[in-house]
Amino acid sequence: MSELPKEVLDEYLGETREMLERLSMNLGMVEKKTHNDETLNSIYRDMHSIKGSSYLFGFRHIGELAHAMETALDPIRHKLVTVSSSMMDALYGGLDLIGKMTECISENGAEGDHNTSGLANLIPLLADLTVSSLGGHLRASNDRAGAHESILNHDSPSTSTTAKGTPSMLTRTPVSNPAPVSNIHFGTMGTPPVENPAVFSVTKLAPLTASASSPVPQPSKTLEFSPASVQAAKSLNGATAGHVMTATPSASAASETTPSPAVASALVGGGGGHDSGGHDSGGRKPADDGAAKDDHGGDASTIRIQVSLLDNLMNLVGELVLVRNQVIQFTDRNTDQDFQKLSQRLNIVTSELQNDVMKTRMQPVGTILTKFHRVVRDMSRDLGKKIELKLEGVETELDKTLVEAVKDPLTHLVRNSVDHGLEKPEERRKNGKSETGTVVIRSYHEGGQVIIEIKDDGRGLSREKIGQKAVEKGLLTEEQLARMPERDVQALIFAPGFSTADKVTNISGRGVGMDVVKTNIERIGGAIDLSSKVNQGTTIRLKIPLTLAIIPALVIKVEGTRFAIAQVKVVELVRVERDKKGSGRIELLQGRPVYRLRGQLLPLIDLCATLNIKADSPDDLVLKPINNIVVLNSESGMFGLIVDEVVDNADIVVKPLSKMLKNLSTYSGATIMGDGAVVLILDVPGLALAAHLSSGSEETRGATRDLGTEKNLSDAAEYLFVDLGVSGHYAIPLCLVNRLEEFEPNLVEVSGAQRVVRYRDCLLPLIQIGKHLDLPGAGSDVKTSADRISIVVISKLNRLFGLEVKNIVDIVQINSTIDSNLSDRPGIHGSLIHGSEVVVVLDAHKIIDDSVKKISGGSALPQTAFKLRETKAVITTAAKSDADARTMRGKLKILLAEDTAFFRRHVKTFLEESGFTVVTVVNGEEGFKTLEEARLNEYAMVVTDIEMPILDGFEMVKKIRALEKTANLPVIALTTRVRKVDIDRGKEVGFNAYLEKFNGEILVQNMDLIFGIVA
Amino acid sequence: MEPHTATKHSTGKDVKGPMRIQYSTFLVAKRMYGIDVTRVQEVVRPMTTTKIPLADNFVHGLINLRGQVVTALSLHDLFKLKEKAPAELMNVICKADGALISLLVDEIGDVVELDSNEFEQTPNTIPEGVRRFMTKVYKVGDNLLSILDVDKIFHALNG
Repeated sequence: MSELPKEVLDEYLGETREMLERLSMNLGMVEKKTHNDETLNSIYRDMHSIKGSSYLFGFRHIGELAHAMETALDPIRHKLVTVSSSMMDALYGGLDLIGKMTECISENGAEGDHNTSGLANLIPLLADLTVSSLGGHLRASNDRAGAHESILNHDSPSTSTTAKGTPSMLTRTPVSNPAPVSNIHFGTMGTPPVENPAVFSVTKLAPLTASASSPVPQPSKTLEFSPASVQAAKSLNGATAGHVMTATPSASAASETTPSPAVASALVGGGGGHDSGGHDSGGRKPADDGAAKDDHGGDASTIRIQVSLLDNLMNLVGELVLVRNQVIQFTDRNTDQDFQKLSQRLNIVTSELQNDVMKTRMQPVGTILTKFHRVVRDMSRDLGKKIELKLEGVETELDKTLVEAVKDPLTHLVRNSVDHGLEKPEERRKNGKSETGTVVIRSYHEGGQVIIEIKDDGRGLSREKIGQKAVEKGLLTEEQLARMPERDVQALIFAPGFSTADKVTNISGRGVGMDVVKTNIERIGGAIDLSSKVNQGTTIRLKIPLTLAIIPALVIKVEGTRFAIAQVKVVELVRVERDKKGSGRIELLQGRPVYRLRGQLLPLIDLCATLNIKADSPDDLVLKPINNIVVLNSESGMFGLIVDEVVDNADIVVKPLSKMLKNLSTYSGATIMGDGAVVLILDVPGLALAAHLSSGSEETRGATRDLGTEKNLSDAAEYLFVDLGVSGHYAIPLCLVNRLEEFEPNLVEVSGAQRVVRYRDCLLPLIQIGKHLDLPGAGSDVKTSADRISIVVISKLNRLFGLEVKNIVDIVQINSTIDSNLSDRPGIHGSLIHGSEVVVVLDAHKIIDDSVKKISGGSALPQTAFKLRETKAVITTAAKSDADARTMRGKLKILLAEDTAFFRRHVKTFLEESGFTVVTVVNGEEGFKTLEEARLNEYAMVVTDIEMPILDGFEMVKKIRALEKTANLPVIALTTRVRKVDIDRGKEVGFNAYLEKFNGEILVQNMDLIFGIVA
Repeated sequence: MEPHTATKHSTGKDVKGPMRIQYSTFLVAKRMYGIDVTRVQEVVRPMTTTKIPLADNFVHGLINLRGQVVTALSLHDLFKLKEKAPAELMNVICKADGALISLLVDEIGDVVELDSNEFEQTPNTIPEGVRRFMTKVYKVGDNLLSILDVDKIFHALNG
C-alpha cells in the first residue's frame, strides 16, 4: 500500500491536515461551550473521515487512533455526556499524534514508529474516559441503540448524516469477515468501525482510479487488518461490554438488510456511501460520505488547484495589467470612438480579473488564528495560568503567502504574551486584576493593509528590566539608557539576542525571537509596532500588506526621472509654498532641511541630492517658491521626501532588480509603467539610511523609533513662554514660577559682579538667562535700551531669584513630552513641540544653582534635606557600584504623589532613570488609596508633594502612619514649602525626610540612605 | 528587434576533429569581442534606458524587454575604455545565472564558427579591466577576437 502515487498521497495528507485544523478549531469551541450541534457533527464527521481515508491508504495506526477518538466523541455528539477536561486533553493529544504521523508520512511515507508507540497509551485512555464519562448514561445509550435500529431499517436519506453513513456502510459489509462481529457492538454507540472492512473492500474490489497503480491488495490483506480492528475493539471492550447485548439486535438488523449484490457498485460509487450522481469525491474521500453529504453544495463548487498555478496566473494578470495600462495610454492619443469603447471595456475586465485572481490567493487569517486556541490552551495549562483567548476579525483576508509568512511570527508573539506578558493568577489578584488574563488577537483592514493586533492585559514591559538587560548585554550604556525615551527602551526588545524573561522556559526566553519576528515581518513589507504600559499590558501591532505582487504606488518625478513609492509608506503629500512672511516654509536646522508639519518637526530628504542626480544646496530648497513633500513612514521615523512633482497613482507590478543592483539599498525593485518605461521603486527605509536619517538613533541599534505616529502619553503642563532676545522659543515650567515682575532698568544695581534689584525689602539677584546659558546671539547686556525689564521671579530655598528676560510672551498649556535628548547643556530640560514651534524648556533651578555657584566661586547653594525620622533600611549591604545600586533600586517600587503634571513627569523620569520603579498618583487621597489596596510591602517608599488638592501631603502621611501595614513605610516630602514651620510640621506628622523641590541627585541620595543602598 | 537564430551549438559530430564552437561577435570601440552563442538570447536595437542613480557607472540602466526588466551594462565603462561610446548602443541580451543582462555594444558582428583548439591565451599585457572577463583570443582573418565569459562578467559584478 505504500506505493501510492504521490498526488494521491498528497491529497490525503492535505485533506487530513485540513480536517485536523478544523477539528482543533471545533474542539476549541466545544471547550469554550460556544459550539452548536453542527460543530459536534462536524467534529464527528471529520474524525470519521480521517479514520476512513487513513485505513484506505493503509495508515493503520492513524485509523485506529481516529477510531478510538471517534468512539469517544460519539456520546458527546449525542449529548449523553459533556466533555471533561481530561477527555479534551486526550482528544487534543490524539489530534497531535495524528498530525505528527501525517507529517511523518509526508516526509518518509510511514507513520513512524516513535509516533505509533504513543498510541498504546492514548487509545486505552480514550476508552477509559469514555467509559467513565458514560457511567450513568448506559440507559440512555441503550435507548440510543434502539434509535439506531430504526435508522438502520429505514436508511432514509433524510436522517442524520453520520448516523446514516455508518449504517449504510454496515449494510454493505460482507459479513463473512470475522471482524464485524466484534465490531458491531460499536455501532450502538454510533461508532462505525464496521465500516473499516467495507473500506478495505473498496480497495480490494474496485481499485480506485486514483490509486490504480497501487498493487491490488489480496483478500489476505484485508484480513491482515481485521485483527487490528479486533485489537482496537478489544481495547475498547471494557467500554462497551455493557452494550453487547443491546447491540446485537441492531447488528443483526444491519446484516439482514445486507444487499450483497450492491456491494461492488456501491463501493465504487462512494466507498460505502450513496452513489449520488456526479459526486466524484468518492475516489478521494471514500469515507467522507457523512461530511460530503452535508457539505454537498460546498464540495461540488470547490476545486483544488496547485498554488504554483495561481502564482502563474497572478504573474500573467500582472502582465495583462501592464498591457492594459499601455492600451489606455494609447487610447488617450486616439480619437476612434469604437477603439475607446473597447479599451474602456478592456480596462474594466482587466481590473475585475485582477481583483478576482487576487482573491483566489486570499485566505482568511482565521486559518492561522484559530490554531492559537490550542496553543494558548496548552500553554496556560503548562504554565498554570488562566488565560482567555479572544479572536476578532478572523475573516480578514490576506494573500496566502503572507498568511504563511505571518504564521511563525504570530505564534511567537502569542507565546510571548502568554509566557512573559500574562501573570500567574495569584500575581494578577494581588495587582487587582481578574485572575483570568486575556489575549486578544484582532485583525482588520486599515488603509490597504491588514493589521493584526496581539494585545494582552499582563504586566507590560518594564523599563527597568529591559534597560538593565540591555546594559548587561552591552547594547547600550547606562547614560544612553538614562536619556532614552520610554518607547525606545521598549523597542529594545526587538534588538537581536535580547530577552527579558527571568528564566529560560521551554516556551520562550532564549532571546531568539523578537528580532527574528521583526525581520520576518519586515521582509514581507510589513511593520511591527509595540506599545506597553506597566501592569496594564502590551499591544503589538503587525501591519501586513494585502498582497505582494501588485502594489498601489505613488509615482513622483525629480529632474525628469520618475520613481515609484509604495503607497503603504506614504503618509501624506504636502505642498509648501513660500509666502512673504516666510512662515510654513522649509527651514534649515544645522544645515539640514526640516519642515514643521502641524507642530511636529519633520526631517526632510532631498531626493535629488540623496540620489546624487543634481546637487541642490539646502539653501536652494528654502528659496524655492514651491516644494512638494511626500511624507513617508519608515522604521526610523517619519520623514519628508522633497520631489519635483507628484505624477500619479498607479498599481504597479514589482519586478526584482538584478543581483548586481541589490547593494543599492535605495531601491526595492523596478516596475514597468503604462508607457513601457522602466521605473525604479524607492525603498523607504533605504532612503532614510542613505540620507543618514537614522544616525540619530544609532545608539539604539536595533531599536525602532516611531517619532510621528504615536506620542508618548503625557498630561498637559503649563509653561511660561519667554523671549530671551535670542532666536528660538524658550519656556519655563509655570509651576516653578513665583511671580512675574517688571522693573525700570535704572533700578538695577550691581553688587559685586551680581546684578540685583531691590524687591520686597531684600535684594533680588538677577540672572541673564541667555548670557548664563551662553546661547548664541545673547549679547553681554540683553536690553539696556528697553524701558522696562521683565523678571521671572523664582523661589528657591526660601530665597527669591530673578531671571531676566526680554519679554514675557504667554502662558501656554502644552500636552507634549519634553524630549530630554535635545538638551545640549545644563540648564535646559529639553525641547518640546508647541503648535508649529520647537520650544526649549529651561531648567530654572539648575540655572539658579549654577549661577550662584559661578558668583560665589564654586560653592553651590546649600541643599535643603532634612532627615526627620529613622527608618530601618531594607537593604542590608551597601551597593558597591553604580550598576549595583541601580539593580537594587530596580526592586523598589516608589509611589509618587504630585499634582503638578510637570513635576510628576519630571520626578518620575528622574527616579526611573535612576533605576526605581515608579507609580504616580495625583493627590494624597489617591495615593493613600493605592497604598491601602496594595499588598504588604508592595511599595518601598512614598515620595510626595505637600500642596495637593483633596488630601495634601501632611494629611496623607498622617493617614499612612495610622494604617498598620504602612505605619513604617518611608515617606519623603518633596516640596517648595521649606520654611521652618513646614519642616517642623513635617516632622510632627511623620515624614522621614523633607526635601526641597527639586534636585534629583539629592532626592536619590536621600532615598538611597533610607533604603541602605549607601552606607 | 531581430532575435539571433541561436543555432543549436553544433559541436561537430566527427569525433576525431576538434570541437567547433559558434561565437556571436560584436564591436566595442572598434575592437571585436565574442560570446558563446548559446549564452546569447537575442540582440535588440537601442532601447530607452532608465538610469539608476547611485549605481556603478558601468550599470547603464534598466530596459524593458517585453515586460522583463533587464539590467544593461555598458562595456565601454566596464572595460574602462577611453573611447567615447556612441549615443545609440545595441543590446546583446545574455543569460546569466537565471537572469538576463544586456551588454551594450557599438555594433553587432557575424556569428563565427571556430575550432575549439585554435585559440590563444590572453596575453598578460592586456589591461586587467578587460582581461578579467576574457577567456581566450582567436585570430579571425585579419582581426583578433577576444572571447568574453558572461559568467565572469556577472560574477565579478555581484562579488
